[in-house]
Amino acid sequence: MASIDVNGTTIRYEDEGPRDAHAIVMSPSMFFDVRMFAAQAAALSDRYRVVRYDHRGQGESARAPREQLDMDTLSEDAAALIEALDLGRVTFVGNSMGGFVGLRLAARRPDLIASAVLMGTSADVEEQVEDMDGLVAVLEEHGIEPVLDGVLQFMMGDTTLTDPSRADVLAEVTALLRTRTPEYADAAHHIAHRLPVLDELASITVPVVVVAGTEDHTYPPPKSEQIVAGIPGSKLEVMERTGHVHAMENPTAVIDVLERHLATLDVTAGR
Amino acid sequence: MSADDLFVADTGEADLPAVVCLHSLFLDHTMFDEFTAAAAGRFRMIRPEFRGQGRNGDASRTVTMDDCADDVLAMLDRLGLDRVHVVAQSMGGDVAVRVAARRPETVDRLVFLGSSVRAEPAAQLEAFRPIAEEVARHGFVGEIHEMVVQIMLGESCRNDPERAGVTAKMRADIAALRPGLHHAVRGVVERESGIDLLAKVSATTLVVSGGEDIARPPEWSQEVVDGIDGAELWSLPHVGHSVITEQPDLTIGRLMEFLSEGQKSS
Repeated sequence: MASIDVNGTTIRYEDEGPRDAHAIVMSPSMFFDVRMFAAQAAALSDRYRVVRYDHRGQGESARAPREQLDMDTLSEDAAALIEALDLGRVTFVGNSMGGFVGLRLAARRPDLIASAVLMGTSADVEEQVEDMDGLVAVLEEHGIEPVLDGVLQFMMGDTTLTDPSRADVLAEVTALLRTRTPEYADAAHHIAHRLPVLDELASITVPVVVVAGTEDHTYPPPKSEQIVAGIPGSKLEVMERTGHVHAMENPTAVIDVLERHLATLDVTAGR
Repeated sequence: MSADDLFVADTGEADLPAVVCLHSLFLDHTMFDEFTAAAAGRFRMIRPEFRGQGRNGDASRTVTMDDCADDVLAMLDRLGLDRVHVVAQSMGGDVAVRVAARRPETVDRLVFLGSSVRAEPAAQLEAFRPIAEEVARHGFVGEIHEMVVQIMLGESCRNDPERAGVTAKMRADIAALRPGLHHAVRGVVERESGIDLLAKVSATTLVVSGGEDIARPPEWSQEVVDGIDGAELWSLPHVGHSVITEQPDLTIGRLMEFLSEGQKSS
């Protein structure tokens, strides 16, 4: 475990793999942390430098007041992390909130981003803003327990919710959510009220792969299609039997997407 | 001078967990004054000074890192302490790794600040060796004085008008050092590697690394993190070598937190 002071906060991160190899930065969904990408890091860190981190205000990164948890600030944190660790131009992997960050960095910081793989995310305004505001209000007032089932239904694919072979994933996510205290409402607020980046998509020049889970109830496949329509040359990957938490619900499929994407890049893997 | 005669500042509370603070070359136990004040009532603060430095007067031969580790172990025996935390800055870390490897059951939590455990690489050894000779002849004046200040404090600190006082104090403290410190300087410059000792360390370890540290750069800190099972790294990109001097509030806050976690688990 490691932490680093950047952009006026302390970011917790895990840094694995050969130092001189092409770097992959993994940015999690709301509520999640570095553990979200444990399977992908294990599969790739023999050849790539894999850096996973927790967003400001979540996991083991430093807490901050609500007004400092907007998507632009989170994106600047990630940029500062990439710079401070001297990672060069990275492949940015983001799930949901991590995808909000990835879209912003791909558009604004091509000097730091070689490519991006963005899963279960959206470039649009939040369309379920009222549901989300309600959830945030309960979370803030009463903690996660009263909304736990709702959050699980929102996040996990139908397969994960019902298939006994995914019971361990469901249990792991449930246990993680149960540790999330009312302060997570501050971060969640900014999902509901984020600004769209649709008008920035056309300016993205780096290779982007957008991954849509067919069972994603938070950002269903049309939100991914909208991103792909906006980013010149970007590619859509549709992932079956997968909800909003791709990296954990379908770890091998995500590893496969990443391997295939990395193979198309003109980068050097280590060792 | 025997180990029993070496200077130690000890707040002495027998009922509090003990923190042994090991200082930097060129500095002395007072570099932990603020930390000691912040820890009042929560930790017993034990701050020895190394042989050949500070209040112990000059040594008559090169003082090795093993000599200093022997002295710290003798001090622990004398005080009857079999479980302590260790907070070490710079050369304090070279000593701490030896203490923690020789008595893994004694060191509970271990913090490296601006430190490392490797020997000085050949190129830097050639650059630093003349320092000991120059110090022996002329003391801390001119280029040597400037060089030591630049090693001790990061660029951001030296260029920060709000911390002009920190830089001025460091300049004055270095200027006040005696030529007789050269035996201690030589011991640090010519230190043996402690890398093989890392695997023997069982303490819960935090490594604090300044991005502007030219004496013990971040890669050397990473080596410590990689070598000690479960060690945690905290990087401060705009801090230099003297972490606790340059960023006292931030560093002391984190140290209190890290050492207190130890209390809960024990």
